[in-house]
Amino acid sequence: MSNEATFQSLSILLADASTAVIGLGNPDRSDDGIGVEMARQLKRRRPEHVFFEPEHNPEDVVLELLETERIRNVLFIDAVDFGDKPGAMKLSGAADAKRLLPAISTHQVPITLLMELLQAKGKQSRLFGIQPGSAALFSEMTDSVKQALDDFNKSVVDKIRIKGFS
Amino acid sequence: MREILIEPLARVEGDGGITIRAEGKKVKEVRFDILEGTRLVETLVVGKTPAEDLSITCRICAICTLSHRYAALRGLEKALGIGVPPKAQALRSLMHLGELLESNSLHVFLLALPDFLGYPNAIAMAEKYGDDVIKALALKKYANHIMAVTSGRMIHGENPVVGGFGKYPDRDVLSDIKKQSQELIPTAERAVAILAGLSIPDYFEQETVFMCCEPGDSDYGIVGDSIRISDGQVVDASEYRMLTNERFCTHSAAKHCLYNGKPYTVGAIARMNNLGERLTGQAGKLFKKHRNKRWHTNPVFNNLAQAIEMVWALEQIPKIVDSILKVKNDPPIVQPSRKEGEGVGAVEAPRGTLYHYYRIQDGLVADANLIIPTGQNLEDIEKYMRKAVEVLLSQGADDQTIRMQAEIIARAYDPCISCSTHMVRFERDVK
Repeated sequence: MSNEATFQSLSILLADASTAVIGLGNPDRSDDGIGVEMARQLKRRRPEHVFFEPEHNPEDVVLELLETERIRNVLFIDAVDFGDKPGAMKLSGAADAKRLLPAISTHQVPITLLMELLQAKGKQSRLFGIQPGSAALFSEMTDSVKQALDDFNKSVVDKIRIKGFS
Repeated sequence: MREILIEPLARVEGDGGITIRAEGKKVKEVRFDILEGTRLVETLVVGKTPAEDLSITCRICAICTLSHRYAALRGLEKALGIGVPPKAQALRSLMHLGELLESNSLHVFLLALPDFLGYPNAIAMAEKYGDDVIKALALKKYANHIMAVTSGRMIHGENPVVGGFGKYPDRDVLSDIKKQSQELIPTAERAVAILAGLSIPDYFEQETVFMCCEPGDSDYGIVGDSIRISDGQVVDASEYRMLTNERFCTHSAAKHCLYNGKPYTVGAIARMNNLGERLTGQAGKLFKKHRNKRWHTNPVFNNLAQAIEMVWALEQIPKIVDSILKVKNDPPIVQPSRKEGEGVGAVEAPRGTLYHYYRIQDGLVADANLIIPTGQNLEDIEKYMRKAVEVLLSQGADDQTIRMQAEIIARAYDPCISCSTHMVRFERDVK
């Protein structure tokens, strides 16, 4: 899928008020913070149901979303190593996400488990992954991932029009 | 020599592995490898203030952060001649129980149970046990909340300081924590029921020694100034070097420990074996119902011990909250009475006894020594794995079976590799 097509799919998903967003990662680790930064940018234009680490704990958010009838879709945004060049982007469904993400994360509840729970409760989940170039501690984002953030802002965040929000 | 590697070891905290080497049916070596590099924390804190030490040492681990902070507080305050008031002590107890609940719920439901229910991981388990997983996450969320409320944020909170707390939680927040604890007891009881119904393999059983903090007053507890050993001795925590005897090991970035030249075990199963008869309430009933003599010879019962301990923790919380609420005024931070001294802080981290030793000179840390629970368990983990491999080889078991059983034993100890600053390689010679 091209970036244009990915952005188009994201725009449709994010225009729907029944979509919640969870940005994942550690902003102190270079490109690992891209999911958090994208969610922050989204929250500027779309304040409701957008969450990100470390302010929000992903499993705590999902527990609430499981009980929130209005939410039918959850979009996770994270730095994901899928073997492409830094800054490459990929929007995956829950089944593909399970192949991309490690089954076990030692420090927290695995995102794929949260996706499984959402699915069991009839909610859809997607993973928007950005290929990182570096996860070095206390380092800035790499230029390629910064470019991906700029493109995301221009093509998705700035054009967002939300249906269904009061 | 045939070699089969398990690397990385899944569903443990940090990067570790297991190496098993054998020639035919003879075991040559069984190692629990710690693959994470040493981080030299004890040297980093030399020359730092006690406040700086607290902020550095708690970052050894994001899961055991509050145990490290608590052990550091106890060691530093002893060295500085500080006694904290009862309200601060009670809030520290609540903080500590929050971490125990968070860690035990994660380990029992998401890391250990898949082994016994026949799933590769909790994700696969969620399809059939989805409601249990959701309840486990709710318990974990509650524990996260306690940690955030007491320490200032969920991980590496700075609110507990030398001499007390920066800020005490609002009364209504504490009252809500008390109320929720009652609602969550059935979740912890469910964990006990599932684990108690499992068939636990017995072919690697053997005696060992158990150690834990002695809380005093004939209570069950997770803090103390002395150490209770299953051989009947009670030793002051200041004798921690004699108890632990840390030593370097060529295959491990973590130091190994021996007591009187022999491996020993710390953690929930040690606490239950040494102190369990003191449990009251529902936790006491569950202990009496499920504990048996195999708990002294089989580390896999650590999972069930952790589950019973969750019930205990949830039963303690209302009492602790009440003791905080009955003191209306928040006590000020107690200032040091001296600038020089030595102290050992011992607490029960979720995985076992954690020691922080400090020597303070001119108000700064002059020497520090941290002894970690997983480091203390490493020799016993290897001992039980070796016995399991010996028996399985003699039965002609295939590599996959041996790997699985070795992993079950290692995971039962809930090793925290980040704290210990190492996994299973399996190597076998077939001639």
